[in-house]
Amino acid sequence: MPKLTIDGKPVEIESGRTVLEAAQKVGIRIPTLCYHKEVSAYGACRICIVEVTRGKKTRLVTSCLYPAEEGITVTTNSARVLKNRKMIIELLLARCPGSAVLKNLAKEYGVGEPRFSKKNEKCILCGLCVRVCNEIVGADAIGFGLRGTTKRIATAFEKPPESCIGCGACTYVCPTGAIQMESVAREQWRDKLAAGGRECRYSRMGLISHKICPRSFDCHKCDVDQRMEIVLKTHPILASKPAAVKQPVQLGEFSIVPDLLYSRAHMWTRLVADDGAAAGPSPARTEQRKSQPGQGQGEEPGPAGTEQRYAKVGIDDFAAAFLGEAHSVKLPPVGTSFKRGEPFAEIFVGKRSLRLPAPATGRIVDVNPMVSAVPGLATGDPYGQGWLFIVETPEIAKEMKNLLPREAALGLVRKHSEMLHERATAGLGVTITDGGGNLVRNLPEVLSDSDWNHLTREFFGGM
Amino acid sequence: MNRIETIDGFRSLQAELADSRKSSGRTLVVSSGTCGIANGSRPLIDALEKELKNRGLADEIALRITGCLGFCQIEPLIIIEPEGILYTRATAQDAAEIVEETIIGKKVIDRLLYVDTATGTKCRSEQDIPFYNKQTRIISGNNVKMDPTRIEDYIAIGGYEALAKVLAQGKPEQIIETIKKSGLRGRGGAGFPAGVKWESCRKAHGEVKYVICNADEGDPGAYANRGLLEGNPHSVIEGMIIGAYAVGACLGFLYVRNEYPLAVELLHKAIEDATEGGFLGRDILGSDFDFTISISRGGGAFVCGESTALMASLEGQPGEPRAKYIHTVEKGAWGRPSCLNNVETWANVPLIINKGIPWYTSIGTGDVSKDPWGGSKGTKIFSLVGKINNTGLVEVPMGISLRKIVEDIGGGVRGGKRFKAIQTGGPSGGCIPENMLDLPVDFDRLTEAGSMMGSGGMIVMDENNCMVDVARYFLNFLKEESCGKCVPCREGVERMTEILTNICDGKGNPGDIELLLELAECLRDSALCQLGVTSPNPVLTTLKYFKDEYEAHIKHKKCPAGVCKALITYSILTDKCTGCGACLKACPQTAITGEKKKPHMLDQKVCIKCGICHDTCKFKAVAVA
Ligand SMILES: Cc1cc2nc3c(=O)[nH]c(=O)nc-3n(C[C@H](O)[C@H](O)[C@H](O)COP(=O)(O)O)c2cc1C
Ligand code: FES
Repeated sequence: MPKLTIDGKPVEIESGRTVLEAAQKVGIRIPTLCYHKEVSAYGACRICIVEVTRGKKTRLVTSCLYPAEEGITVTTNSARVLKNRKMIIELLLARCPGSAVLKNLAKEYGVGEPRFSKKNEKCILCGLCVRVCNEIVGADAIGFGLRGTTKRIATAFEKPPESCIGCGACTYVCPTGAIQMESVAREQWRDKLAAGGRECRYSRMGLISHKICPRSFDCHKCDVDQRMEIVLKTHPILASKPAAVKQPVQLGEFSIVPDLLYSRAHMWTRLVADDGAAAGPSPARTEQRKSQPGQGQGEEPGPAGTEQRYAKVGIDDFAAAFLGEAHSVKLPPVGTSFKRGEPFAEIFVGKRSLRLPAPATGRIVDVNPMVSAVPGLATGDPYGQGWLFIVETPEIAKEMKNLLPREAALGLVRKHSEMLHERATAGLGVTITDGGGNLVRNLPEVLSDSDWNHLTREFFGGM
Repeated sequence: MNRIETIDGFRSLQAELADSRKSSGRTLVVSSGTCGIANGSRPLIDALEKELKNRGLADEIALRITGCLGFCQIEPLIIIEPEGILYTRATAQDAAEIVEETIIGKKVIDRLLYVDTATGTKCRSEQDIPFYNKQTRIISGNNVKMDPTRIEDYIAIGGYEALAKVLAQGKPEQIIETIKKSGLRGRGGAGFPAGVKWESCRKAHGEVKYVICNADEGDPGAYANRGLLEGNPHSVIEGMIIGAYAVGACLGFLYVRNEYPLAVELLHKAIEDATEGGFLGRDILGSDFDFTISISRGGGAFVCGESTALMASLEGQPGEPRAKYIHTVEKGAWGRPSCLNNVETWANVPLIINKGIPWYTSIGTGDVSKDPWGGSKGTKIFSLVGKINNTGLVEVPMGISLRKIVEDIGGGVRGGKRFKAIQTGGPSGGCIPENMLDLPVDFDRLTEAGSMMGSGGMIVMDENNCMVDVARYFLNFLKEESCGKCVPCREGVERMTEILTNICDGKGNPGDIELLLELAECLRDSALCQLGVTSPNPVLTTLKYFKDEYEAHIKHKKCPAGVCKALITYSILTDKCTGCGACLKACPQTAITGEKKKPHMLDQKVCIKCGICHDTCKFKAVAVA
């Protein structure tokens, strides 16, 4: 646990935390605007700056992002900090002269009338609404539009966002009240809900049983809404944090991305939009546009039964760790059809090779050229750049039912991991774990033929 | 080309290509980079090809189409090898004469020779031209020797030799040591020692690592990287392969701005050829090293040249920087260790490997044998533009004085005007005044002077540039190019621009300078990325060296350089006006009246202060005040 000093107070906090969290732990208040503990830190408002001395170097950093490191000295209110913080408040106040939060800050820090012309904006562009909508709600209904001085919060193509579920979490986190449940959004649900009834936003979020809204979606006048907040002490969606499960889950030395579907032979599958597959010959480009799974953006594993017919396939981290580093990957050419369970891809490691059974019936429409060029990617970055191919599966809903979702996949990896470690302790004449109890990276080399055959059948043979 | 499977195989191919190059006869070299094409190189090439074919010389005389040769102002250039005769600005109409007179008749066509602006002498070859012979073109000098679409040309002049060498040695750590000892510092901005960066990336934890080439080049007026990408793409690619081998990366990304279509096309071709030849892909040159490069095109946002914004953009996210408390060599693109270097930095790598540390460190300043920060080694390519006689890409040894660049290579200020300042380092660089012209150009000295190396823009300004207006121009650029994420940069730069605009409009107040300084301090201390942190530089340097101009604007409501429209008036000096009528015809507002041969009159109410009359008058009869 790193130990540091904040304003002369010694603080000890688990590693991986920030200076802001460390300060909060000992009751030192640092003002924040773009920070909220439920979403990732963004570092935009700069109001939380503090002075950090590390070794001989002293500099200003944003406490909401700066890691609480061993031995650093933090000053939260030095003359330099105050001078900068005051200027930032003055700049923000000139932008949003009506904001109560900013007026209070100005009072607290003794900032007078701004020396700049006033802009009468409401939004300070802290981006909390964007992060809540993306990271917690998972709706991605709003984002930043434009750049620089014209930057603003916008919806895609400036149209009412279809993915908005009207949860209101954005209005809840907004520090300046710039984002409100407005009539446009209300009208939109009303239209949409006409057939299904005027369903309450909390019931749409699945947080309460079915309820019809009696108040034209003026949520701030609603008892349910008020009660929700009183009971939970926060906005319900922040308390439920449904999208937070997207972080990879660490199971011993294996990391498993939870929102993928897995085959019993340790291959992951993710539905991709039609255009993802149709973008065709340059998966390199596709890759750049879409980031790794598990980062919660872009292609979601849409509910089975939607229009999607394409799935991206790769090996999971268990298979990757078991194999060590792939020396070569043999994939069937584009156009090849195969049945579920049919061996179709081969990964070579040293003198060994592993044939993997297809996770679903279908036809290959694209293979990852980077993996043929750099086979180590398949094992080094199995969920990202090391994907293997895209398959077109006509009856995708049916196929996907054969695959394991989150819990089942975790269970399988746990079981296989235990088996592997049992082997290690059973002392089969080989060492398959290093001193720290982690798997060695060259398993295929150290295992005897019979062990190799036995284990691969066990782990990668099932369907 | 067949895939090369071994290092020996590469060596014999190289020997073969080098031999056949030596024995080749005469060659017509035509430069056709973006500048050449804009000046009509393509019809010229077609005409030359046709002419050679018609005379049955197509087999005998080779035609080599190269990238930009640096002297953009007079391109396309034609060079006849081996004589070295150099023609400038030839057009398709000259093709027949060139073939007839020079190729067949071996005579020089006087009319097409370059005339040096300063001395008025005609120059027969590159060596005679001061613009060229005062430079040290160790990197850009190769452009003339190759057709960028032909990997064979690159190999014939020693290309991929450095790669073969490091693969044969098989010691990545040794490459890092060499780069460290060479003192190579990043050419993209901050001058961070490349070897140190590579070392941290090699040591960073993670199996998948990336190398990235920053070819975003967003500074206004800068195009040195484009010249390299278009003229010698393989040198950048070879540098990246060596870097990848050194840090242990398996994938490379080339982030090029989309406004460089020719560079993108040539890079695609170069990567394709290198892959086919076995320099990229699996088991490179028979080793067990695998590496591929993919090209990513940027939308041309200036901020996307910043390392973390570039990586966000690479991932498909909005191009916004993030805090670098955890370095990109540890967690960069897709959260993986990533080693980012500028185009020119990469291009220096093969050269250092081939020619060795003693040779490389003999060029430049300081001592880097113990500390890679100890000096600036090698050369730097600048885009020399502005009010200067010779504009183009100039490559100079580190430590050369600004004066040599401006006077010897650039041929002095255009039109005999008086030099005022030179702006280096792009929009967030600074303006260096005349009395500092003897400043040696290296990373540390430029920073000390309040400016920076940046990615190599150099804009020369003369007495007709108003320094307040210049500061306003750059701040306005930065205001528009700020990503808008952090408050000090988005709001602060805008406010600084506002104040500067007021000063230029004659609405400056006492206290403005102090407020500018206060904002500048806040930006330097608390902005998120280097765009914000360095954005006050144009204001701070002009305030430091040209404070009197600010005061003239604010206190006396005058613009000494006669640029800020709100503060100047044009008037006709009756004693000098000959009544020639030139200004009267040129005035777009018909603000000037008068009879022939009699002094003219200017109506101040109609005048929009465009200054055309002033520029048109041959008798200096239009005064600005
Ligand atoms: C606003 C901004 C723009 C930049 N633009 C470029 C650029 O166009 N090209 C470049 O190579 N580096 C640019 N940089 C510098 C990069 O952040 C980075 O330092 C550099 O690419 C590292 O490579 P080097 O070490 O080889 O210089 C820019 C930096 C900032 C802050
Ligand atoms: S709260 Fe840390 S930058 Fe906004």
